[in-house]
Amino acid sequence: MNRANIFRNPSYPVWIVLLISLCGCSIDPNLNNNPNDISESAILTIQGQYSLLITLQGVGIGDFYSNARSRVGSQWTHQLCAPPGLGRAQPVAYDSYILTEDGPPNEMWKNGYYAIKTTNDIINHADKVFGTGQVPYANLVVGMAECYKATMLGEIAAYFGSAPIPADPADPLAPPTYVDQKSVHSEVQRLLDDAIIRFASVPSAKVSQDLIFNGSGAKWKSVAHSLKARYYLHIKDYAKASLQATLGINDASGNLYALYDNSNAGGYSPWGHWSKDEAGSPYRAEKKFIDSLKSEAGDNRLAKYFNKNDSGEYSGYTAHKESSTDSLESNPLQASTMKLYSDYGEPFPIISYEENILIKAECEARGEGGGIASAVTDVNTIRLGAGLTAFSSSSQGEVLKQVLKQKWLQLFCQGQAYNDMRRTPEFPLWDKVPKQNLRFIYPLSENTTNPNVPKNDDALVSALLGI
Amino acid sequence: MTMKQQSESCIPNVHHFAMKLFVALGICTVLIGTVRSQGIVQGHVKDADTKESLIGVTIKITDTKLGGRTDSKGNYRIANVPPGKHTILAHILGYSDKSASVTVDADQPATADFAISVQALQQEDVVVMGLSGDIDRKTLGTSIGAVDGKEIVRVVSPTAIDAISGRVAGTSVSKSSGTAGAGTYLTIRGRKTISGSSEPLYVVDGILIDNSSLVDDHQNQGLVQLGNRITDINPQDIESMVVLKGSSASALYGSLGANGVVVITTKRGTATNDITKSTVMFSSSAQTDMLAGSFPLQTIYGQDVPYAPGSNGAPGTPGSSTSYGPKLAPGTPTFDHSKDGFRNGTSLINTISISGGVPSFNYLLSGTVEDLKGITLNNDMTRHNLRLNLGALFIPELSIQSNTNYITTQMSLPQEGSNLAGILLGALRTSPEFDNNIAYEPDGSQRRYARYDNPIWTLENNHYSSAVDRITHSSTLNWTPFSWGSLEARVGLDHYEYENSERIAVGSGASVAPNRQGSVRHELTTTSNANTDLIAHFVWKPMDELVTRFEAGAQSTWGTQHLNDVASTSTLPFFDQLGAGSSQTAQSTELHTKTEGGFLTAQGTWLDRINLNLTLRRDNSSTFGVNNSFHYYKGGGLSYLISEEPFWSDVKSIISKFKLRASYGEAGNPSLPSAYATSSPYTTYGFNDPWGRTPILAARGGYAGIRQGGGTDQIEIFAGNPDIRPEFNIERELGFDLGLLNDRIDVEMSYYHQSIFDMIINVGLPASTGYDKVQKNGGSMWNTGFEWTINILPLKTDDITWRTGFTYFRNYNMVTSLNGVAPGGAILLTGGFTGMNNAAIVGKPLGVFYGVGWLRDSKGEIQYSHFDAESKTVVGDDFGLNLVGAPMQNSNGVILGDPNAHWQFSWKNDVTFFKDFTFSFLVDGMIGQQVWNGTKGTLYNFGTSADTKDRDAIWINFKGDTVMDYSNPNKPVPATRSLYYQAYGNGFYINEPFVEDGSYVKLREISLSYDWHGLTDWHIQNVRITATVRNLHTWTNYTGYDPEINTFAQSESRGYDYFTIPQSRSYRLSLSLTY
Repeated sequence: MNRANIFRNPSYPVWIVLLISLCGCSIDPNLNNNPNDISESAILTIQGQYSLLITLQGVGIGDFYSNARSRVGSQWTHQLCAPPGLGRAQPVAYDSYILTEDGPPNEMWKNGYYAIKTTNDIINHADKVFGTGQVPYANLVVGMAECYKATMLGEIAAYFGSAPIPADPADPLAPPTYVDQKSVHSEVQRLLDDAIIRFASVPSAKVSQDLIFNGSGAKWKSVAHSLKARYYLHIKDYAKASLQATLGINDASGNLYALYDNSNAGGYSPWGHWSKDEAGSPYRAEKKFIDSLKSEAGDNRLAKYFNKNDSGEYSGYTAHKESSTDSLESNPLQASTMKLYSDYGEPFPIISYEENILIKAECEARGEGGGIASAVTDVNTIRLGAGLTAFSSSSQGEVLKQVLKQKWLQLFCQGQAYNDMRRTPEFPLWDKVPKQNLRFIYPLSENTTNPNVPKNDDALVSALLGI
Repeated sequence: MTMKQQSESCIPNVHHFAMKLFVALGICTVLIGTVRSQGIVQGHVKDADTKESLIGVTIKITDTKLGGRTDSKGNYRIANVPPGKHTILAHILGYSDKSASVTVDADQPATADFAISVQALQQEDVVVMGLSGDIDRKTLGTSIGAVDGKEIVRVVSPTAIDAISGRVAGTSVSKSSGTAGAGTYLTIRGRKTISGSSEPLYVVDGILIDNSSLVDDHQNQGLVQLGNRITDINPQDIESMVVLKGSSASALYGSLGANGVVVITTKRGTATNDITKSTVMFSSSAQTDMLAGSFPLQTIYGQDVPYAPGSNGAPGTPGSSTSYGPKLAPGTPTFDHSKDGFRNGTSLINTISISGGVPSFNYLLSGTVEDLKGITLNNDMTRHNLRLNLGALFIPELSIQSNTNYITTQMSLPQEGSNLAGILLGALRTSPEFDNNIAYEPDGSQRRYARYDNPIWTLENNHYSSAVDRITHSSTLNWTPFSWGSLEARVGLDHYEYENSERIAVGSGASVAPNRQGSVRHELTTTSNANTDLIAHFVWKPMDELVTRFEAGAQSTWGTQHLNDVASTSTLPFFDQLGAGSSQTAQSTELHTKTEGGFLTAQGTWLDRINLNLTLRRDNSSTFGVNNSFHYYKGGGLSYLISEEPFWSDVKSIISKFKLRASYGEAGNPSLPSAYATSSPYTTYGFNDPWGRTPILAARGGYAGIRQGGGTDQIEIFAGNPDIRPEFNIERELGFDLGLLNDRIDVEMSYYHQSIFDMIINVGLPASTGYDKVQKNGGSMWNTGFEWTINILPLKTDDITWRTGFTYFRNYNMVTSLNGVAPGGAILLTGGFTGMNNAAIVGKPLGVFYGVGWLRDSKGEIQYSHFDAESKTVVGDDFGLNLVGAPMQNSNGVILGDPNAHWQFSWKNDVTFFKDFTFSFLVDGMIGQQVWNGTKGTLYNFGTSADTKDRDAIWINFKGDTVMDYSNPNKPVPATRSLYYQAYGNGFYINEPFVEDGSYVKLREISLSYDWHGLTDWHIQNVRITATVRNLHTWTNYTGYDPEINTFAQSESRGYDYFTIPQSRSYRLSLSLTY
């Protein structure tokens, strides 16, 4: 067939049209929505928002607050130690105050920012998802998310210094920028202020997805005030801390806990796992802490925190080579194992009435609120609860030391003692401070991927705290 | 959109497409159905030497789409030929093509008779190129490999693609294990990807065949050898395999073509004029497989703490794992554990087929039963294969050819690899004085030397069964309304169910439950792939000197996969269903993908000597990022057959053929982007806990919690990337084809260079984003290489014909960039062990070994521990044993070697003598690659490796110094080599000493066949008897069993030998009757 024949043939254009029509090539974009996991659109539903909230109340806050942060913080404040020869060797490095960027800082940082992402998924969407007809419900879940986010940012600022405060970025995968520690604290206070406003208007009916307080706005409001008090205390704003503490948690029923699950291995707490499943129960009592608990007769916290050793005694290991004539104290196997928090499902406190009252007491001892007399009253609340006799003094120094000592003894494993230790020379272990890191180093996961990471610089912390 | 809605969204598209197709066909029939050509070409084809008529010769009018085949008398007739001058081509396998020129007048038959000769070098002139149809090889600008069915059948393997080994330059073929049912890893012109698969696309009769390896915990750990699913294709069914090596050839497959394409055509019946003529073929093969290779073990020293036999019927007590005990007493019986559990497997393969046809119908029905016994106890594979190929000519312009294949395979696979129940793991670690053949204690429990499973016991009690039920179907409709144009429409379907069931027996060391309580696991994968192709072919001859050809087409592919995985632990020992266990778990996943492609090709031939072809494909896939929906792939080739020039005639008697060719092509990797890489999903699991608290659930208080991240993988949280693009490969190729001495010597050389961009890698994200990683197009690398193929006909007399052929292939590869990875950083490839991986590192070949090596200074010298006189302490002793002169280890990853071969070769010979005897052999080799002999490294730890025989000798380190024990600094004493084997050079701590030269040369095949025609009175035309041996001998310096296998099966982690079963030596005797 010659050229003329082809182009005269009336069917030729039909063929071309036919082929073009058959390869229309439109593919439904929804085909690539992953059916094996929950889609992003799920969080834009009320049930999705509640599910995010459930995560925050369990592993979200819990694996941040009671994991590496708690473990290292309690070791660095001599509450616990990890003697050599028991289980995993890694904790030895903590005792030596050696951090590796892929170790606990990495773990704390990642779990914190994972959970912050979850809080943002609520904060950024809940108002729209619940809509104008369900504003009280949105207030509750956003307020709760703000409390959790404030806690994580506050602790990250305390442990690391400068940090990102991711909110609702246009490019969610771009390396976040860092702001200084003071700015992080400002954001913490802003979040909590917003939460307090929101808690004023929450559903009157029980909200069962609030596993802590069943939707009680009053209790959450107290938590938010206590958290505000804690983070004002961190930056030595004792006046505001005092004020907030008076509005904070006023009895143990207002304590905020991270929840774990005793009945399911997938829901075990980190401390429960460490205590029960790690060979040799590698975490043991430290001599200095045990000695302090023993220093006054009748302290019921000994039996609350620890198990007796084979000799029927509470014994702490001489992790820091303290002089000791007791052979048991240099034998790791004879150091007391953990009792408190060692059950798989035991809730872990995030902020408590005890902490609130001790914050208030310290501020009072420093001249805020009711002054030293009130501080003594408050610290005696803790002492009497611990089975001790009432303490009495009018000396500001003595009262401050007593308050900080009781806080150290009372908030076992909660990591706040590490913050106090750096903040104030009245802390019982102050003599150790100059030898210790003021902060965690920035983690591997951030150093290798984010060009915005500042230098590791303890001076930043020092400048903020004035030490 | 819900899942239900998603799955439904595909189905209307299929129907919609088919409806469009058939409506369109109808419209076009009405529009143009009255157009007819008017001439006829007819003729007869015979063998030039024997003068016998040849049946089934393909006749083509090369400047049209018209053609036909010769009937049982060697005659052909083609109607509707447009008037004018035409070239008629006669083609049949085994003969040289021949063409003739005829002039057709309207209504006047033109005659073209052919006498064709047996081809000197057996190289096909016309190759099946998949989407672009049958192409004359001489018009190609790229190198194409081909293996014909006769050779494939002769290979002693149930895996058809094993026949490519040694036959196609540019390919690398390795069998993953000697297990019956194991897979074969094939790459073409080097590896192509970091995160996906480098294996080619397989197209069988137009169906895009799924070639997945099951990716689960088992494959990743190499605990059993699961094959890739191309192994389901029965070698007996194959007419030919064509390997599209370069991107210019595979560019037409667009985003699927970068790894090359293997186009497989199955056998079909032949239409004839003789309705009574059918061909019945029956063949039966008996085969014996046996262990090839050995592993040297010591028989001098016994267990540290020996196994203690029981007394009075009580069970014995296992001893210590290691054999660093005292020398065995003289006369103590010892056992060669390198042979524990092996056997000579005897197999039987029977095939029957019937084929034939009438002018408007052809048929082939075949069935194969294979009953294969592997070289270890309880390793069996039974495969039944039933195939029906039907062709019909409805009206003169419209024909259909359909192929339906049902394959059912049952396999029983042995435990191997890094597996406490592994046969070799248990056997080779066993102390020489322990007899594994006594596998049971008097109370029926397992008798084992230490904690590992007795190999005999594990073979009899730990079961892994694998079953595949697969159906493939293709129907191709050809409509040729014009002499210059035709339309081809195809529907392809590939569906299979793949069920794997594992029983870890109560009492097994591999039992995950406490107290060896055993486990049961059932895993069912259902995979469906479908494709529809619509291709319009046009031929246009604008002038006598120029013939052009065009294709325009569309291809749609759909893929779905469902995986259900259930397991239970803490089980009853005598019940293998889920109910056997007290702890039961289940999970399920599904995948859906769709790709739409449109393509155009144009090819022109000027004066039968200059050829230019161009291709363009546009692809859109559901897996592409929504911001990068469409991708274009260009290809082109240019060839110049200089020897057809008039000026060449003077040298044509010496250089009978000389063709220069060049080509360019672009293509994408078929395995990436993977489904769902674009979205950032949520999961019900909690966050990672590095201390083993897994899986952590986000559920609390009766409510399910969710957080960002997908699946159960809590280690890394992946963000979706809406910008993800397919990987992109640009290949440039130059080469020549040379025929010497009237084509008795044929030389083909190709040089290629591939630039691979946009390789998908996992890039770290700051955790402060809430994610850990994202897949990005961030890597690039290149492959460049040479291929030589030389075929020679050294001898051809009336009685003897000897054909010999050589191939040579060398590929160089280098990773050139990994964006988002720190300088010197490594991306670890899937598979591998902790501390020993294949890695992608900038400036290095892809997949270099990366693990624990010796600590070296800047000059590369190994560092040793030394005594510091000032502090009076030993410095640098990694194991704290106060040794001076002990080599130090670098626990950071260092590059330890390269598992990629430097070059490969093969040498093939076929000698036919006295017409009816054929003797063949094939030698192939891979040179320069390294293999990690993890087996040996581990046996240093256990003290059973033969190397450890000198354990009591003084330890002289690598620089020739005696290693001294400074436990008493005042009186150092020499250390023994025992410390080297147990600590410093122990494979559990260091990998470098066990990266060995894995070069090998194998006598791959040797066969003798005889064709007997003594039963023609019984209408049996031919009786063929063939004796074949595979893997008769291996020449290698490798100190393990077999350097060719790979523990991680077909994964991209290559060169691992960790207690993996070696390939077998196979002997096969076949009888084939053709009626």
